[in-house]
Amino acid sequence: MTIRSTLRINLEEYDLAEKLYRALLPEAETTKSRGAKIALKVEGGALVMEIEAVAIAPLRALLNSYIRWVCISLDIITLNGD
Amino acid sequence: MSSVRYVLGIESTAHTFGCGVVSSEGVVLSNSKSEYVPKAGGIHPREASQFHAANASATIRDSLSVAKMDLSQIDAVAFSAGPGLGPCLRTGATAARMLSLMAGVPLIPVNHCIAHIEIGRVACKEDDPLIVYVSGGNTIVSAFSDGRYRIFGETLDIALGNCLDTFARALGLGHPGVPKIESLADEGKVFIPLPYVVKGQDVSYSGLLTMAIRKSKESDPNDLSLSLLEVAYGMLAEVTERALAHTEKPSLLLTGGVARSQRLQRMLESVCREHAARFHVVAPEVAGDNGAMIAWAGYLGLLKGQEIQVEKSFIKPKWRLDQVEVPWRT
Repeated sequence: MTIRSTLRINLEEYDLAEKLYRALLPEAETTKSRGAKIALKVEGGALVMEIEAVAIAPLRALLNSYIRWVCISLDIITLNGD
Repeated sequence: MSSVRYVLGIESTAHTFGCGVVSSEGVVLSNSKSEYVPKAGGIHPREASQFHAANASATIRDSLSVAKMDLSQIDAVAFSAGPGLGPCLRTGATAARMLSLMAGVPLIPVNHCIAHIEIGRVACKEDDPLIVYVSGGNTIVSAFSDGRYRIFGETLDIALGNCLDTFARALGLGHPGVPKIESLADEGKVFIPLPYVVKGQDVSYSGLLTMAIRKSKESDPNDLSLSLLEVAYGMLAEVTERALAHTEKPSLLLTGGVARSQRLQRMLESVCREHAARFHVVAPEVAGDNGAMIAWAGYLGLLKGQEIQVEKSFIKPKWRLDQVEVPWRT
């Protein structure tokens, strides 16, 4: 069984979405999960995260990690006044 | 135009999220931190990383505010890439990458152990000391040689700080444990034999910890604390003395969180006297994990072109001190 989830973070500006993508890319390349994997891409002004998992638990764990990192990144964007 | 440069450093290897700003002249303009304290037990990596995520931006804001700067004035961003707890490292690394991208400035990965050493060298104005780096996660005797900080002695299992913190929890002393153990030790009068394990130039603390916890059920806590510290610090002093004799370094630098221990300072100072070496200990505010030391080490790396592409800025949870090239030292 494969469970898929797509999370779309809309930043409304390509530049910001691309920065968010670059900040998360090293984690996407190195985070090893037994039951889930993630692919990142930028679509217009949004960062799109596509997760595939073998069960709900690893899906949730991976989502939680990435949401945490997205939140930090959005906080940094706000810090800069954007 | 001013030639002074400013580096912002992010520390997040374990329970501390730190953010500091340092100038190229070695002045610490700010050194803010937020510390995760577990409700019970040791550091849970996921919970610590959640704490860091929740407090990162506030800590960074505070650091910039204390430094009276904004992001546009920062010339580079440094971050602790390792060694440390994976989830915690990833949190700090993500914040650092975003800071670097938003400010449009270089990103520099820093080895946490080297940061502890370099902040000590600049603060104590010692060029070439033997280093004793003791913390919750590391116990290393090191000296610079042939382009790197070489390891002349280390723990074979748990770090000295970890040993003492775990013992403190077993006694119900809470966090931080080391100062409380030291207070009990000051009242101790009887030495209780405990395993003293030195293997060559390395030390082993796990057996000492196990026996100390076992004896806590039957022994006076003051005497047991005294005995634990005397054995643990004595082991470190032995390997330090041999390293000092072998390397013939003119000075010793004690750094890391456990460097705040007055008892350990006295012991190592007496070792230095025997070898006519100068003794230095880092100031308490930069002894523990902090962002300023990452910023300073980052500046040294920046000078030698150690910046990295954001996409390649991977964390290294098991990054050893002696794996790092140190080109800013000849």
